[in-house]
Amino acid sequence: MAVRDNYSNDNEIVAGMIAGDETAFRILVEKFREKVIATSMGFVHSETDSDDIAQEVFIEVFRSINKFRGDSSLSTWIYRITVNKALNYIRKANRRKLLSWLEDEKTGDKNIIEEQVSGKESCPDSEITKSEQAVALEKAMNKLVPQQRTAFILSKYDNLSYEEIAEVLNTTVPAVESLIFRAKRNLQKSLYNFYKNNFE
Amino acid sequence: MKKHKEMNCMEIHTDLLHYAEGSLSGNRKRIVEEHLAACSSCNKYFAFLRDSLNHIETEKQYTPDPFLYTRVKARMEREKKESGSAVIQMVTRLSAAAVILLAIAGGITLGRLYSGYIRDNNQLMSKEVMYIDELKQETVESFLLTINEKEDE
Repeated sequence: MAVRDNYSNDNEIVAGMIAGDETAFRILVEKFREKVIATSMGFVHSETDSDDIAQEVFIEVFRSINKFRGDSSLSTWIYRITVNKALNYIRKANRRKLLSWLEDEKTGDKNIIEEQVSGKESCPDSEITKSEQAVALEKAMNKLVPQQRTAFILSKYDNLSYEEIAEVLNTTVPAVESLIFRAKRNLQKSLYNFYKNNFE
Repeated sequence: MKKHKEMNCMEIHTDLLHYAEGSLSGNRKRIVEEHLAACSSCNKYFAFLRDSLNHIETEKQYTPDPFLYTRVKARMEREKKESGSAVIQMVTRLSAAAVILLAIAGGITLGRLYSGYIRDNNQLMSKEVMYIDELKQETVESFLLTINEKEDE
């Protein structure tokens, strides 16, 4: 098949990928990587982990492009994949953390247990300890239920409108408004508790 | 008075996040600003809240890996190879399991054949023993009775 250097729109990119043109896939990755990384960062707060999630997302896009029916925009579809991959990544990481915690408890490594429980974690990317405010925000976001968390991230990290978020979450605009309102209220509560316990 | 102030602070806290985002307007925005100007503890908390939310902007500044496409392709190749070797491993394990099962089945069949031979031999032997050990066939009393009857005749 003829290899094209440029694709003017998403439909052409999809058609190119289905036809097996690697250039179409490369253009798709370059076009959507910032969005995918921004969303992933909102979930995992780590550059290494969000790069990892982005790779999983684009592999999934490549493998499932034949299933893309065009009912929603390509961007919405990729956001959905990103959210699912990020939530799965967190679930797996939590499972690993729990297993290692149990292992540490069994071996009696009290120092590690205490460090993990108190949340004194260093930044895995640069080994620089994150600011208290950053840790507070991450903890507060991690406490949100997945729907609230997703709506908040899509709004704050990706600057999506409520209509776009509703499309990604397959729900209505009022439902998104409610999710974001509750997310902010819960964040405020968690942040205040953190402030009270650590700064007052 | 102090309780009234605490109540007022709690009410202000619910608006602080919206205020920090810049999404508060009108009368509510004015109330929050007046309160922050007068209440040092809320002011400190507001500074903490604003710094926490600024972390989102810091995270958003992360520039994606420029070699992401290359890494994605490399990972796809690696996973393809791994899944290929996983299939080979699976086939090897299945073959080994099949060989073991065949060996067990062969052993059972041989065992049955051998035990059948012994059973037949046992039956043959017991018949022979029965002829030898006539007491099993005819008790002493009946034997004597038979002899007596013969003598009477």
